[in-house]
Amino acid sequence: MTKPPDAGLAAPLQLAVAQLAPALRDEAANAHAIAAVAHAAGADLMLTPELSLTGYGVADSVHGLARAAAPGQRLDGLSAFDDLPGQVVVGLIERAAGGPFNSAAVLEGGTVVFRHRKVYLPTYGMFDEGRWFGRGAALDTWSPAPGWRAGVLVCEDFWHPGLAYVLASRGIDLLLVQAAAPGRGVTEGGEHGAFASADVWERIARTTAQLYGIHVAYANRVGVEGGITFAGGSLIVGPDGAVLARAGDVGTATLAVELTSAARDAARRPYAHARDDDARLVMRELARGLDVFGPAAP
Amino acid sequence: MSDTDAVARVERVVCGVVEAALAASGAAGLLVLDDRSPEGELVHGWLQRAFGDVAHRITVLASNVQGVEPAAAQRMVADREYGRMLTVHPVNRTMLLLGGAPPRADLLPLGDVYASWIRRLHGVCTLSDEVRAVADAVGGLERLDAALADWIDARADRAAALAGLDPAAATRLMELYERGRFYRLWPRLVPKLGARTLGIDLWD
Repeated sequence: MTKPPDAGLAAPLQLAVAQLAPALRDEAANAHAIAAVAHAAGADLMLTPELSLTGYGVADSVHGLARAAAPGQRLDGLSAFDDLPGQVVVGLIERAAGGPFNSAAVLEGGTVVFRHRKVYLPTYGMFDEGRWFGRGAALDTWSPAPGWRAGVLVCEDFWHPGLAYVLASRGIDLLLVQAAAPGRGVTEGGEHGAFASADVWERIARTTAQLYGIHVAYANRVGVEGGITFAGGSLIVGPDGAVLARAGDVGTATLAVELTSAARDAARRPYAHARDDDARLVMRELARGLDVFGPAAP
Repeated sequence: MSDTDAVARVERVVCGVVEAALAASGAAGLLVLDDRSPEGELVHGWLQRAFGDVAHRITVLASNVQGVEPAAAQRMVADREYGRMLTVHPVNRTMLLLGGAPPRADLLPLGDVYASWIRRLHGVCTLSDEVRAVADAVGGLERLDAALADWIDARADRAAALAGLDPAAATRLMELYERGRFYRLWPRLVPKLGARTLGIDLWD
């Protein structure tokens, strides 16, 4: 039986992306700002930038700002989150064995329902995260609404395509990416703003969306810490790789798009990527290349 | 995109960093340590547009204190007359890399802007005599800045980045660069515009 083209398997998902300017080390103010945007947006699911609760350059304050954020846990002392609408993905510093971690926590009514710990910690050039944070060691997905499956990555994670691949292989419809991406390339400028570096993020987001036939939401922050200006340029990309919504490179903003499974299906129909992908082959060849099971047979 | 657009972008980013520095420091205002250079005019103009009366300028072209060079006299006047302000020096990136000890100011807003870019916009830029001599020896300021950008911003192998330059000039360039290494390790605030910025991701 053939489904009508616009049938879809899930109700539309109201997605919001909040481009924020977190105040460094001021969790109370940041929580209020996040809650205010969430209430105004009224979305089913809202994404905020990396470390939206604490700001990025916390340095030695990392331990003082770390908080327990395991699934099932309420975030202590943040009453602004008690009545959040829908689900909100906040960036915070998680206190746990092996940490602290740079984590994305999905909150529902102030309780953590899902959590991703940043896997790849940039520790080169201007970045020093390996000094402050422990590495995440797992990937998982969750269902933000009936019929929808989502995954989340944090900043540098998105530059390692293997992670998006793993999540896509688990059948996600939506990939959420938190970032605190600094702006570079001001004298050259970018396609849509002041920073040439923002163009690269957009290319990665659009390519990822199209390769896997998924929606990609990218929440980058704005504002300044020290000499670093964060580049903004938050995006929502459709499963065909088209940009559905874009924020500027300066100033806070809220993007809002209704996601439909029909759009996902329509984007995937011309191709057979999901059907033909062979994750076991990938795993086998990765293991062979890494010599996991001993030398390959001649 | 035009140079006008590029200047507007740079101005916006620089002023954003300065605004955040003002807020974070609690300073009463900004004091541009000016020497009537094109960079000084540029920076003071930006800061006045962005911050109005909060942005001051002090110019000391000559010193009446025996044995005290103008820059030092400038600082003495600044400390005495202007209280707790963030000092701003308009040194360009070429001079920051090759000019020896960086100016002693809290903010170096053009620290990521090469002298050749300034000259393209204004017809002139500020170079010390010794840096100008190296620029002339390698075939011009654009050639010098291109070599610096290749070597430092793009992290190219030094030998490859300086290949094609007159060997004696390349040696002199390296001498000037090495001379400032100690001071570059502990710089003042430079707004990040490019690939590698002193104090943020350039520790060399």
